[in-house]
Amino acid sequence: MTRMGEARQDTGARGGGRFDRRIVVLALVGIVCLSVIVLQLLRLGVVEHARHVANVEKHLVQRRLLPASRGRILDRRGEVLAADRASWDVLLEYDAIVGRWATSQASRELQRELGRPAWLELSSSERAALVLEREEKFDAQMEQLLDRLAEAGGITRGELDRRLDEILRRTARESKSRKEAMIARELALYGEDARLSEIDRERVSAQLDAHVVLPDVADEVAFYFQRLAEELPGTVVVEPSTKRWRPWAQISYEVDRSDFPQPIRSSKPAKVVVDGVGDHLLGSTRTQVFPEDLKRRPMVDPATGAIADLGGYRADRDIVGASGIERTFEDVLRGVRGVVSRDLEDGLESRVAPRDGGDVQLTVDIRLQSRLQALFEPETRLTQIQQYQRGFDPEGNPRGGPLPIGWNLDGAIVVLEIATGEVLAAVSSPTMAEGLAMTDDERAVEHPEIFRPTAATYPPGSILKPIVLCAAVAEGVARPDEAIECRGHFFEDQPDAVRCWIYRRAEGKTATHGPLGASEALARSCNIYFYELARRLGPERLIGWFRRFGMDAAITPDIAQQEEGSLPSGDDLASFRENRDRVSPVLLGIGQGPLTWTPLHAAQAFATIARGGVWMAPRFVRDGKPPERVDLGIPQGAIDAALAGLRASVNASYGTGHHITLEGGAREELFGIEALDVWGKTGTATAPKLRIGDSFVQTDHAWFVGLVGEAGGVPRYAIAVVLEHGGSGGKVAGPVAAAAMRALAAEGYLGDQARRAAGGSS
Amino acid sequence: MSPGVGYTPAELFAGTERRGGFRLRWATPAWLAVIGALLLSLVGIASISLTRPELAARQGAFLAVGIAAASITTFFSPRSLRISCWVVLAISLALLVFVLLPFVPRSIVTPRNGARAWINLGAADFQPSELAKIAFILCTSQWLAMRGSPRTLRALVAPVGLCVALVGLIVLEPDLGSALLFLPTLVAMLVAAGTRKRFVIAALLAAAIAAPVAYFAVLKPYQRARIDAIVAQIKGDTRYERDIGFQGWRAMRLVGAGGLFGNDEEHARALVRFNALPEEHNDMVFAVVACRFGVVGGMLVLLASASVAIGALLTAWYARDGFSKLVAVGVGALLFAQMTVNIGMTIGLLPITGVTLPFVSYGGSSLVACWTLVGLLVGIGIRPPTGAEKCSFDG
Repeated sequence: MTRMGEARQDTGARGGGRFDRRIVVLALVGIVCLSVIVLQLLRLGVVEHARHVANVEKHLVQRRLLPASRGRILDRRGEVLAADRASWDVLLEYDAIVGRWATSQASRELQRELGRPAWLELSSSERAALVLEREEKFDAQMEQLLDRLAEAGGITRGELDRRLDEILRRTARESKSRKEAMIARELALYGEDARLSEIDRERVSAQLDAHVVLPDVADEVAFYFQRLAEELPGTVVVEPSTKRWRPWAQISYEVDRSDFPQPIRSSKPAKVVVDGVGDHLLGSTRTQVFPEDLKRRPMVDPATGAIADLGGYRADRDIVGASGIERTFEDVLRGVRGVVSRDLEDGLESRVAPRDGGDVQLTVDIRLQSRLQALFEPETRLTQIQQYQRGFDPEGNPRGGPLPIGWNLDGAIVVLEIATGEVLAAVSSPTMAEGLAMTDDERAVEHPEIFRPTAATYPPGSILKPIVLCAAVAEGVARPDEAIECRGHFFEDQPDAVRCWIYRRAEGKTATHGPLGASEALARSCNIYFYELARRLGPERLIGWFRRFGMDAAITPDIAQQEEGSLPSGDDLASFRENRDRVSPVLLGIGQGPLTWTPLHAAQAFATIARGGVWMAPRFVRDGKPPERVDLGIPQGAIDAALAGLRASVNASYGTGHHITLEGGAREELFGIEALDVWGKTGTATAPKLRIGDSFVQTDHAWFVGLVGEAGGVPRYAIAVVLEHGGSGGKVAGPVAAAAMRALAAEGYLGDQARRAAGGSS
Repeated sequence: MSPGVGYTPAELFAGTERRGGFRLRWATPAWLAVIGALLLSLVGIASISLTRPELAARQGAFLAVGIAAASITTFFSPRSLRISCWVVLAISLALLVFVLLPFVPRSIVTPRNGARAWINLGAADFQPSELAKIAFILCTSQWLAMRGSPRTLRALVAPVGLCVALVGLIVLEPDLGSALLFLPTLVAMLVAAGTRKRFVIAALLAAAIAAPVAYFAVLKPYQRARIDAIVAQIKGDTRYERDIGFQGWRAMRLVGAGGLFGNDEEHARALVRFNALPEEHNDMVFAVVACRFGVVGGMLVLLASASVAIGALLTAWYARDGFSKLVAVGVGALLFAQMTVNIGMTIGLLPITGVTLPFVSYGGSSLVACWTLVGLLVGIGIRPPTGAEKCSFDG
């Protein structure tokens, strides 16, 4: 008998009782579980049905993307500066690079010869011996192939071997780091149960792929290796690829030296090879996609995994504009991919055609740009320190200077069309290509990566004087015909400070300019005149006018790499007042002090004056938008006086931009260019100290900013030239500006007569 | 039996005295279970044939074997079951230990997904844990029937101990999913046998407390990862969709994509194939059912499974003695728990556990074992009470 409860006669009929109640309880629990399941089932199949269908159906579509070609960059005349071009790459399979190909080919051949059963009967050492013997034949074939690769690629066999070693090194690195990551993950997930031996045997993708050994080969080379690929299977692979072609990247040129300053003149042109014409401006592309690119414009929507924007960026392989115009106009140049969608269920295909990227046309004339870039080549000697720039003392001895003769100068040239504000040339020396060939030390000093026309800031020095004149007349504190006396020094009580540049009491030079009108003061670049204007204006109004001329602002919308320049800040002005500094506000009038601007700012400011005081933003790209014009309200009298002063500066014998003095005292005019009228201003601006080796040298930047037009006409183009640490503006930058004007004429921009005189062809 | 003294060998075989009465009751609710099982088996064959027609044929063969096994099982009277259950238990334990032995060659015990849980019999594989489930139900029922309703904690020691022993051996394989199914089965059988409510509630509370402890201290990293994945999936967070949560998300989406009435055969096949649903013929077969036959098809499966469970419970209701009642409850609980867990993990409510859908999933071992359980039900159901039973757990 049981212990608890009495044994009940269970007749098998349905009875009540506690057991039955418990059955009911269990049944209820089951019903609750079923209800939850039913509810979830209904939710999935009815409420969320559409969403799940979309998610699941997308796997039935296999997509193949069709690449779109990138738009071209053209110059002003339609010359192609950058374009996509189909090319071929020659690759080697990894097994061939690592030396396994010969072994596997030998093994395969032996197996074919002996037959597989016989092969398997041999011991492994016997097999190894046979393979070793047979390998030699295939090794020789491999060697021959490598020799042919080197020959076809125009490189030495040593260089090819070096490339192969680099591939092996890179692959080993990749394999190691990937395996480490996989082992770490496996250990984290499975602890001691991790199966590490399997990871060891895995090969990373780089070990299974082919690698590029000869990029960008010609068609015949590609076809030759394609045939070889069939003869020697498993070695060489030929693949189509797209390259960005820059036909003007390297130019061979003959620089006409017949109009250079006499000491460097030659009837024989200088043969130069210019690397990287306009490369800062054009910019470059990269094939590596950064997270910012993916964030800005992803191809795949990260939330749904569906393709959102066919023109968007793909994580593993894409082309992105990295710098310059390629970057600023990335969205125009970038095309939109096409896609072929294949329904996996019924095999039907649908196609969306790719849309190629749009072209971007620059305002720059690449021929002019090349001519001007060539001037910076050392063979021309035009942009080097030369003795004629320093001159000779009355006894005929050569004057010294901070830098040695023959020192190559870096700098910039900007050519601006006055009527439209378009930039015809923007030259930066050194170019990016030249920078690549430099050592790290050289790069640290010369900074080849900077696009000097827009992104290098320099103190303006005397170049600012025409603007100061315009400001003073516009504000009514001076009249163009008013005479202001130059006494050599500005402050009565300070004869040795705040001087005119011809007055050096210590050296016994006590010359003064005497009373000067505006034009003559400008032509003679008298400091005292402009100290006086600055004093009358006061720093606030003067700085306000500098700002109106575009200083301290980013003035072109087309380039990302640009600097704004700088003006004295509110703190600077406050400290002038607090310290009762009467010197600094006055020095602003001659462009010295906490002021900097870029060559583009300079050209633009002069163009503004030439336009009668109308400001226009300089453009590097033609986009069909009409230029915005801002009238600064400068009285015509100021404009006329400024232009007259600039004219006299190069045409009058007393002008600072008129001549250089050669050995023996002869004078040579800087701007005696046939059929052209030239206006200009020289500038010698105190530069930050230049480090040479362990010492620091005090130098000046050499500026020349001018205007040029057809003889008897109005100014048509503004040209700004700056040579870093060059010294005297007129003597160093002047000849370069003259050469630039001749180049402009030779390209036909200044009329037929000037073109013929400059030796240009039609 | 003297209370509290210990167990004599005679007690192990208590209740096995021969009884009279040979008439059979053919109108038994156990047929509900049979109809449900048959329906599920056919749905299973149809779903397997969608993606793996060659396996569907084999499943058909297994079905025949299963029905044969079920028929043979019905011949065993409860009495003979009560005698032989210990032998079955001994064999199960031996086999469970056997698969764990390290020196057993791979040709006999082939590791699958890192678990040593299958014995290779040539034409098919045999899973000792399936036999252990049958042994567990029979032995626990016999024990409880012998001892009566467990009123004290001490009385629970033996059934719980047996459960722990079997669970432990199976967990070592490792096969956490199968092991877990023992727990609801045990609880259902103890509840039906009349365990005091407070013990049951205490046990549930203990489980609730043990769960987070187990999560942090006991579970392996990849098991924890599976739980993280399902929690994220329930919240709608797709961060694990590409790795650990892949199976769960795909299954759930395919169920949703079935809509109300499912897709036609070609489309359903394409969907399952190109969505790369893993284990689509065994663990995840419900997703295939729902994708092909829609919510309606899924409900059919639920209905059929409910039919099996209800058949088991009704068989228990009308069974002749305590042993039979508990066996019926155990069978129903096991099959229902397995179905719930499997469908739960397919529709995104439970973590992936490696438990198959009874009768539907491909697998000879599982199918034959499940049909054997149904055979037990029928064997109980057709034997009406003779009027001389002791211990019907009515107290």
